[in-house]
Amino acid sequence: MARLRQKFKRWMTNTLELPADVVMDLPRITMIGHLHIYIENHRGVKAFSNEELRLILEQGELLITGKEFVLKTILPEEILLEGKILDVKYIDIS
Amino acid sequence: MTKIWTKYLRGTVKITVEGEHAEKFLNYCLNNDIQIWEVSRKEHLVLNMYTDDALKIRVPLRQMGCKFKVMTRRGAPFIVQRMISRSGFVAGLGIFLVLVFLLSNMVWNIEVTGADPKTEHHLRKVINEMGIKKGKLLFRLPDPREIQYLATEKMDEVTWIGVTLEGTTFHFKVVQKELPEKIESLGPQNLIAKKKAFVTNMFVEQGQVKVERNQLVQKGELLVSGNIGKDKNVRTVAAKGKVFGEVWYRTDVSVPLKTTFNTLTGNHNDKHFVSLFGWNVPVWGFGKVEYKEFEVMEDVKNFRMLKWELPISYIKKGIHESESVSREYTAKKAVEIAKQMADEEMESHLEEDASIKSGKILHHTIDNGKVNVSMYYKVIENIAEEQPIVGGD
Repeated sequence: MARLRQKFKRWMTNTLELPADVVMDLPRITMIGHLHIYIENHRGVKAFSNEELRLILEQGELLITGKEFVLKTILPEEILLEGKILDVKYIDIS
Repeated sequence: MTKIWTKYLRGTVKITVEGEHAEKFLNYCLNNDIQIWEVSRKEHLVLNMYTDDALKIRVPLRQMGCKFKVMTRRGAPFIVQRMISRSGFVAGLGIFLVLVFLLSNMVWNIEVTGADPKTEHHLRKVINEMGIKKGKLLFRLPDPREIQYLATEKMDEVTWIGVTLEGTTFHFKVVQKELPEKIESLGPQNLIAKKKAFVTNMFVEQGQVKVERNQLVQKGELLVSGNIGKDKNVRTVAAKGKVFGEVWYRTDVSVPLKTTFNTLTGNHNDKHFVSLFGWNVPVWGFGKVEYKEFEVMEDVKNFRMLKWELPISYIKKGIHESESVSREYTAKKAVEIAKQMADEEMESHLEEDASIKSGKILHHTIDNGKVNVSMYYKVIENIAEEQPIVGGD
């Protein structure tokens, strides 16, 4: 059932040209150089340290590594991270 | 910008959270609508949050096995707290400001210029009675224009008093009446007639009388001569005395039959305002005025601080009910009134020792709703005028 719904959603984005992040609960990530990263639609913080931020997503996780991380703002669905971002990686996406 | 202000007003704290499961705390904040910002982590988690939120997270933190320490506090609540703990200082500051305010609104000096010592003394006494003294608060005194009016009214020996308020000093500029000095004309003189009259009475101190009682004299005619003596013993002296004569005057007065004028009924309603930067904020006296016709009298009092006028003033608006009254005279009544008015007018023109012998209505006409009355007066007055004898031999 869940897979069917997933398929239906993908079909909607493809044929109706609806933005994928809205329909499929995907994160929207905006980066400004390596200084800022702005993530919408996350589901919580799994780990945070000076050099690493691990966010829970609807599916899987997002791992951001770098240096001197500061979370400028945290809201229930948005995060603004500041620092020197070296790597953005998806983990465990089915 | 607004965010900075709300942050300032609510007060923010910077705290450190010690413990292994700091992420749990972050998620807890996300799920419970606790705002945090500027989160960083080196040894411990350092973050900023609102003061009131910081009190709420105590218990959950303990459950998560974390400790928190406050590093810095910022914002209005802490300043208020500090002010309360130093209430003596704050009270002193408040008292100081109040004192400066009161002293700035006090009469400190009263200066009088242009008056001789006697007049000055009188003036000081008059204004003292009006309540203008050193140390009085300015906003409880009438305004300078009113003082000027009252002081000028009360003092007979001055023509005009100018009152200005400069800061905390009242300046009174006095223009004194210059009473003409009595001319002691000791030189030889005659007395001549001022106007055409019928001589009725004479009181001559010195000089030779040239006219008789019941004689008609023309203007400029010699009444009492300064030349006395006969033949070779002629001397010239200053003729002195009073010659009373009957003089005729004609006065025209017109009285409208119908007049409308406004009078105040005595009902009034006061409204009080405090004006801030030109904004009038009502303080007392609300509600609509139910008078059909009214007059507004405004009384503005300004406040000062040291040298400066504050943008705050107190305004009292007195709303007085007025009423237009129309008055109508019958022709007979109008004539009567006109006669009265003419009498008064005549009286006011006469000198002290003159008297009205009789007044008669010459004729009266009514046109354009007005009664025009011509009065004819017989007045007995001093008709003597001094005329120096020039080139006397």
